[in-house]
Amino acid sequence: MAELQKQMLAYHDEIKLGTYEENADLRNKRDLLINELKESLAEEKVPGTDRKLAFSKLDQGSYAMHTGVKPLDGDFDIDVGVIFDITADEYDSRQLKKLVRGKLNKKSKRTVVFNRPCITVEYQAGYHVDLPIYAQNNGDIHIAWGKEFSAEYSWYEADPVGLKTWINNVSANSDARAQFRRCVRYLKRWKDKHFSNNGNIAPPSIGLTIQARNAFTYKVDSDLDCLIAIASSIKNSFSSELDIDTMSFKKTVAVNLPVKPYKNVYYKMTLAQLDNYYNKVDALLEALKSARDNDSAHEASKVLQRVFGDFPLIEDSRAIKQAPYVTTGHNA
Amino acid sequence: MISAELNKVVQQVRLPFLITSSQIDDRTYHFSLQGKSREWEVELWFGDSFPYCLPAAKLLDPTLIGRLPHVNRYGTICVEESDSVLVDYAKPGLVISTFLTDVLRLLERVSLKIYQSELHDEIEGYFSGIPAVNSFYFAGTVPEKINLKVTQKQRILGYSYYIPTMLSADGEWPPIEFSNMEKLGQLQSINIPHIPLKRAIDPPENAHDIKIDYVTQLLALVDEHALCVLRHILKSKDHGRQFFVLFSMPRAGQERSQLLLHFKANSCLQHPLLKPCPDWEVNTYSVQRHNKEYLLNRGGADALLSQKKVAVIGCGSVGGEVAAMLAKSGVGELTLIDPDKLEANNIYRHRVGGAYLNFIPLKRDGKVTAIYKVHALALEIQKNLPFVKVNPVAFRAESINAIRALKAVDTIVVAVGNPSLSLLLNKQLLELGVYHAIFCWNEASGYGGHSVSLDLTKVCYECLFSDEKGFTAEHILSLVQPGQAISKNLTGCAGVFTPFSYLDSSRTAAIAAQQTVDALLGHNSSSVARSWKGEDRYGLRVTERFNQMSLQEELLLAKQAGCRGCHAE
Repeated sequence: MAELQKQMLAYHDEIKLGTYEENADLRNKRDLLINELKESLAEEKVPGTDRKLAFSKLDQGSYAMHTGVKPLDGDFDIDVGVIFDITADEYDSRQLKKLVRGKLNKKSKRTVVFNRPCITVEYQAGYHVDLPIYAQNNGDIHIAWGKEFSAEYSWYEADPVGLKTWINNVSANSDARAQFRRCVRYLKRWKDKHFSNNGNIAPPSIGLTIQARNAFTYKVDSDLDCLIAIASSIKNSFSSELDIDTMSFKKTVAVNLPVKPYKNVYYKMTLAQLDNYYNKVDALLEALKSARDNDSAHEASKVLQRVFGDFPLIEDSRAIKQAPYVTTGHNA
Repeated sequence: MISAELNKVVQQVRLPFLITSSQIDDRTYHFSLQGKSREWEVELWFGDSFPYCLPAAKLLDPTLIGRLPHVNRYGTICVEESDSVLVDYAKPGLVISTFLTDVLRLLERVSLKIYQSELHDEIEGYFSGIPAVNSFYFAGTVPEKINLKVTQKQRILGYSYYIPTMLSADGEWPPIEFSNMEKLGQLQSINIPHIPLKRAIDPPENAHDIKIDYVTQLLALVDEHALCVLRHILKSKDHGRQFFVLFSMPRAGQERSQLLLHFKANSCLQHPLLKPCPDWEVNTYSVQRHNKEYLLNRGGADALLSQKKVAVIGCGSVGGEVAAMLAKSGVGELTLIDPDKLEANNIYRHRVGGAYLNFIPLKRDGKVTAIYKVHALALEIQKNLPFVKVNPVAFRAESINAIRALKAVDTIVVAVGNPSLSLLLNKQLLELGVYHAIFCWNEASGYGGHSVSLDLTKVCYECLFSDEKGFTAEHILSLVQPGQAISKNLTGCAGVFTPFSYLDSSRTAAIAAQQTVDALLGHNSSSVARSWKGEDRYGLRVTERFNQMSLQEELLLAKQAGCRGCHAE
């Protein structure tokens, strides 16, 4: 059985993208946009009142939950909630999102997109900032939900703070928490390597994080065992469903948010996409077990490289100088 | 190693996972290997040169062929990159044991589901060994009409079938100067569809060839748009005895896996993609790529360089070699400037040789004309490389035509050799506002050579000849003292030349070409001189630098206060 913990930890350090507190670049990008929004809204009032349209920011997403990974394509995904100090009755959710979009859509080198859950600012430099718009609503936070031209738009109940707290409270033990965060990062790296980022082919990261949180058991000194347990739990969470189109059984899963509005985080994925997700989790689990059970750390690292894409190879214990043959790269 | 010795060595192999071994013939052995969840039946074949090479491994279970990456349709297992393996020939037993261990490890590893997509990346490797068709076509994700040159009809039962010869994009021909493309133009062209599959698919089961039932599986991955394109290409002629279809499927990286299928039937049938029918016989061809994206990467050239333009002033022994090296490095456009014609005197030290000399007089005046060096170089380069544009300018570098040709190039290589002309060109380049140039030249008689990469906004060629007091004849790089009788002649004044060889020029040119590439790719922005030193064989007076210099040396250059070039008004 290969001993891989040291290499797993080193690999984690390579892929880890720190929190806002740890990463000045992320922090600056976030603050620049939030400050710009603040200034541009300075003269705005809550409709029908003299109250200033004020907001506070809420760090969300993987950087706030300590589960960020360096993006393979360089496209950073910054999540900052904008919580307006209003009630849901005071502002039409669509109008408020339009207002934010309009205020931010005034600079070149970026485009501002009205998405269902948020306003997205996409920069030419290759990163984007998602701004979910909330109403403080006297402590009962609601999110402005819906597409710009859809009939279905409204203020929906949401609990972004509760979600962050739920994820961060995975364990009272700091070592366990750290292992959980590492495992989520490994999972995300696997996702980036094995799923296309087009459409909804890939399971959303929040789904992986919630499933990992649900399955997490601390394994002292073995991230690989911990990851295997998580992958195994994710695989077992699927059930079979008859696909009428192909008249074959496909695997499906629903994972609800642990906080309001408790909706299924995989709601956008089709049955075929969920089935593909299952097959890839199945392959992941098999590969992780194979790495764990391999007598050769070198062989195990080859498998992990296949899993994550950039896991470093461990040198073959058959010393190069005594090996009966080696690849030299010589050519003529 | 003779077979008896080999047999003895194989008999002594003991491994914990080795279940049985047996001899098949003189040089082939069968091994049963115990894996974690299955037994693997493999054969090793030992070539005559074993143990100076590794054996070849073959997987015997046909149900696994086409299901595992790195195993081709013959069962051959790709264990090691054989062309750079160093084998310790004194340990044949250990070589076999280690090789069997590696075979088992590979098979165990690639049978994991997570390696499935690697099989899809290796589809062309799986089909290696089948007939290939040359292709200048880059298969993207768009279904489209492409062109297939066909040749040499085979008569079977009175009907002629085509042999595919070359694929290219519709309306895009490979450069006529390249290789024997001119002759290819005489062949018949037909339009065929490129049908991109939405996703990759496993090869046929049990190592079978591609047949019409497999094509039906491919069709499941073809969208309606692709079929519309097909119908458009066929127009009303969707019945026939033969059709070609180029299929492509996605793989990691830019290139898609490609297979050309040739459908043949003994009677007139509807196109196999519109109505699959078991009467179609299918011949499969792999694709031998000649498209730019592939060739540049495959040949070690840098694709970024294909967008770059370089002018070479002086296309003699050094400059001609620099031009050829830059073309081989992937530089997209070369402007070659030199007024000289190629003569027999040149052929032992010039990139182009006697093939470009002319001995036949013109009919109209009986004169024997010679080819300009730049024209010969352009022909030579464009015949050998399909994606480089060469602009020959057979004028003196200081002429207006040559100066015009310098506009819009990314850098300039000056390889005129003559230091006075180099000083003149240096001045002209400064006046033109050129930012970067490389000057290169040989010392006499194999004493050395130099290439100087200059950021002309900071340092110029004349700085080499300058100190704080002004101009000096012995420049800072000199290896042979100036003012000696260096030139030779074999036939009197008309035959005076400076002695140096093709090897000297090649060494200097290699340095200059590398500096040019580095500059084009932005790898080095400082002004640097690189020199090589040869042997003192001819009793010439050498400089202090020659005596102190190692075989190669690099000097960082700085602007000289007394330089008349940099400080010219």
